[in-house]
Amino acid sequence: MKIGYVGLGDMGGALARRLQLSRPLTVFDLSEAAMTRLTDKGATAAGSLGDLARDCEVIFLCLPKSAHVRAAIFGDGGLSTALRPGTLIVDQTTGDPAETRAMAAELAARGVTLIDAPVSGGAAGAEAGTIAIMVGADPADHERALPILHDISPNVFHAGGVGAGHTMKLVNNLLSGAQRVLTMECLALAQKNGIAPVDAVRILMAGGARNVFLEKGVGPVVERGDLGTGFTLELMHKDIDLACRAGKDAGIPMYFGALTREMYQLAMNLVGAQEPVNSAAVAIDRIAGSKIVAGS
Amino acid sequence: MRIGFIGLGLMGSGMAASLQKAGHALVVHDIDRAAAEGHVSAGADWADSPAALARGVEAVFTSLPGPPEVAAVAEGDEGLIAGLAPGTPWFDLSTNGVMEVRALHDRLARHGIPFLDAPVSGGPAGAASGKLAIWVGGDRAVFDRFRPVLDAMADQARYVGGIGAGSVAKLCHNLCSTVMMQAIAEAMTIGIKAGLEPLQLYEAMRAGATGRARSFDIVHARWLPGNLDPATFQLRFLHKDVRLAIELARQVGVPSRLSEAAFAEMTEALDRGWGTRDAQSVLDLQRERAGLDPFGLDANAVREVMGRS
Repeated sequence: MKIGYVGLGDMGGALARRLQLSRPLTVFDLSEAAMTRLTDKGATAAGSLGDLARDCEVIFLCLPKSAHVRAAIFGDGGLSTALRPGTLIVDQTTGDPAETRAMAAELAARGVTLIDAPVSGGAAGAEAGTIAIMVGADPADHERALPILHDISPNVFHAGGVGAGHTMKLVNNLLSGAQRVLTMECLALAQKNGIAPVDAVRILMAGGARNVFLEKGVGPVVERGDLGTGFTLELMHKDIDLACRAGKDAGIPMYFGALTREMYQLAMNLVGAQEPVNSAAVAIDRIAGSKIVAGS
Repeated sequence: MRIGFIGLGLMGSGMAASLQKAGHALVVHDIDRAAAEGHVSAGADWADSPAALARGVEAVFTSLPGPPEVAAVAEGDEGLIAGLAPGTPWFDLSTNGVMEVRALHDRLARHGIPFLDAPVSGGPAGAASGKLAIWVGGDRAVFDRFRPVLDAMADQARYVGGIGAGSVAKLCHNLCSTVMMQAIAEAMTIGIKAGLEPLQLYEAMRAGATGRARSFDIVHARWLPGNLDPATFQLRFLHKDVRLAIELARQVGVPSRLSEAAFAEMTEALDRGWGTRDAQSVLDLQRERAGLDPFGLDANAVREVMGRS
């Protein structure tokens, strides 16, 4: 069985490298450099999306948004120019569940299966083989993908039908995104009352407010003023926006969700949409007059 | 009537001048002696302390920045409590806290001094012209007795209830004023970023149904009397309008926290099955979560209020 991987950025690249430890891969990315990082380790470079579709029975995608997924599949020179019936597409993008279901229906008419399998745990978790994978697929399609997904990580969860993986990822990102900015606001509260942010983090980690952002995200910010790279404020805002839209479609008053989205919008406007997500701390410092970013 | 007046700042000086124009004999005091000059040259007596001012007047008015300043003029050998004769009322025109005025009321009651909270609204221009609201809380009989004095300062003097009620009214009014301003700021920043000229947008909004109404008029026909069925404008349509507006805010990248909160309220109301009820049914969620029963207001009584001011 030949496997293709399209989209070799921070996350897709890490997932592909992990998968390549046990499966030969054919890869494609618009960036030569991103391709080289995989072909150096033995992957085969596809000349085009059509070539990749012709060669592979299972095709993974990991792109910024559902709009990119649609373009990669249905756009000019996209996969659909050469997709054969029976092909399985596994979308690891953090996508829009409604759009994912729409694309799956369009592909089903051509005998092609699309399932969603986004991940949570960061590029480091992908490289280490510990990342969480949440799958939206019919049970039979999930069974078909499972052996390959297990080669990325043993932490595979079948969330439900097509789109459920993307829904679960949005639920996850809303909760982690809200936790991040609430934690930052709380650190500003501690700091302006005379408690050093590093001390506040240490104390919170030992108490009932312990959370994953305190554990894995905030350290470099309060210790060294290191805001990290990669995942941007704009991407975080996009995920929370999608979560709020899904909430709206389900008739849920998204009080916390909408407020969280507006906080990220505010941060984007204050410090720049392309800044890394932890630069929300810079925005909090600016509006609160606090100093939670070390050295600021 | 001989009246004491303490605090001759932007608000106090206008109100004190109104009392003088109406023919009342004023005794004035301020931490800044110079602030009293105009009043003294118009015939007012200067008092060196609140206690001295209080002796021989029929009522005292204070117009001060806030709770600490009010407490300061009350206490001590030179304070109002030391000088006021039992039965002489003190009207505090400052904006104070509800707990603070109730505590001061109880403390003064032990000396036989009626204390009324009487915060005002109208700004320095209103204080000077008399286009001013005074919201009075305290002893109704004292309010009635001094009504002509209050009317000399303000065209909208209102008795609103027991001690603290004036402050509750003032704080609620200013809260509404603030949230409405914020809502206008959200809407205008969305509209301007979506390409409209600021002044054109402002003029356009003022011409609409809400723009033409006085700020509080919007709830008088529907929510206040609980007249929510049948609808003149259905909640599901307002929900759609707000959805489109916040989608526009998304597209142009304007943070809109208040609007999002209002949208969440409407989503909650739709979940209750209120989509075809009047749009103002959404406001009943807030009444319910405040733990309040329906207000039970008669539509005619509401209309009478609309006619009075």
